Amino acid sequence: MGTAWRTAGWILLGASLILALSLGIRHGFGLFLAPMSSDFGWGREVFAFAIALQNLIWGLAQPFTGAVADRFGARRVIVLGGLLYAAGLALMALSDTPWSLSLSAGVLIGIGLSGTSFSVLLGVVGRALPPEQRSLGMGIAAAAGSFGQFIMLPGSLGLISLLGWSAALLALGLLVALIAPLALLVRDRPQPVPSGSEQSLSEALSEAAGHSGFWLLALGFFVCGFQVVFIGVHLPSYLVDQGLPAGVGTTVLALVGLFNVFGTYAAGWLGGRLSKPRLLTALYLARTVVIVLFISLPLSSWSAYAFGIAMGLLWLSTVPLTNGTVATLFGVRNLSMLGGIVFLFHQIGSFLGGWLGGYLYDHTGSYDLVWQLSILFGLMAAALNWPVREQPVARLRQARVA
Amino acid sequence: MRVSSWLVWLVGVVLLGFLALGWWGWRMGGLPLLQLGMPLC
Repeated sequence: MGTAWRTAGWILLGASLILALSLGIRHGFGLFLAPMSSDFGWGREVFAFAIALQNLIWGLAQPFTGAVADRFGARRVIVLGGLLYAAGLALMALSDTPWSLSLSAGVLIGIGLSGTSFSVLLGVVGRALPPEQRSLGMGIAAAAGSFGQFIMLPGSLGLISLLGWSAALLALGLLVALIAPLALLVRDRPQPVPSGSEQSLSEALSEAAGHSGFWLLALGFFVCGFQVVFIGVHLPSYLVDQGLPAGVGTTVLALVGLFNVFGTYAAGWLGGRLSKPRLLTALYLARTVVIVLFISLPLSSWSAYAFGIAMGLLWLSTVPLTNGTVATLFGVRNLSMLGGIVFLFHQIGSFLGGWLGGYLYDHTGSYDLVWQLSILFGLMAAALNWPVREQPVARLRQARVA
Repeated sequence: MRVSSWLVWLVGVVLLGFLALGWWGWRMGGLPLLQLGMPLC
């Protein structure tokens, strides 16, 4: 028992560090927009396109890297992902044309992220821990990813100030390369299955595709991506439009980042005690109420700070709850792949939240319509998660009886 | 699970390095550039 717990502890620590490095460094990419665009005389759309492409490639690659991790063990996927991520950063440092930026920051880093982020690492954590500890473990690992984001923003900024953007990217590439040795902590072998009950990839996919809960979770996660990227990208401009100083947007995003760490951990802890789909319903409803209050009440610096704290608590809290529910419904054997498909919906939502925010602003002259969409989507996500029953599929129930 | 001592050192260095980098970045005036507004998820 002691050895098993120690092993699980090392795996959780390794997964947490890898997530903190991977998500933390990715989180600071926005800081490179201004210096790179100005050095090469690019419009902002060049960099924005590369990051949008990265999000899409990340989402599209995730089910495949997840499936490979499920079948052959996550360690190789993480090592390869870390090396691709590092190579992408090195090539990004040398990029001087839009297409080389899209190839490095978009394609290589997008694929690298799919091997070193939530779906693969939370799959590892899910397999390492017993069911009653799974949600808490996922909450801890996801909180570590959030903490990495909070830390690496100023870290990346410091490196840019000290070394310039190109050398800073090379330094970040070296940091990301540490993921490869850290992957040695991640002992993850494919789950043993009783002989004769092995589920093929297509059987696993068709089981999930035929389960309403899977699609309801995926559609709910779409809303998560839409809301957080819309707010993350457009909130600072919204606050300036409303007459607040630019520094307020800064502080609000910092508060989101800080309280996100506590919210994600708390969500994982609660998910081990209460129904995860019901918690997701409550979480999306709470987001909706917070957004309604924020845009209806008179706006001040303090109301914006309160919004940042509240949204931070509700930010990535969806991650351990959504992945935890997928694990409960379908087991952990194909968790990285199934979690990857759900994450693809999140990334489509992220893409739309960032893009539609700008598009509708340009066409209507305000963010009102996007806020209203966020409220409507929040209510929809709450309703979508409510009917999800946290009950394993018949195959797992029968296996348990046998 | 046996963990090599160099791996334990690496974990320690990464942990401390993380905290040091973040602290140094904030001291360098990290907050103002956050206003560029990058996605947090």
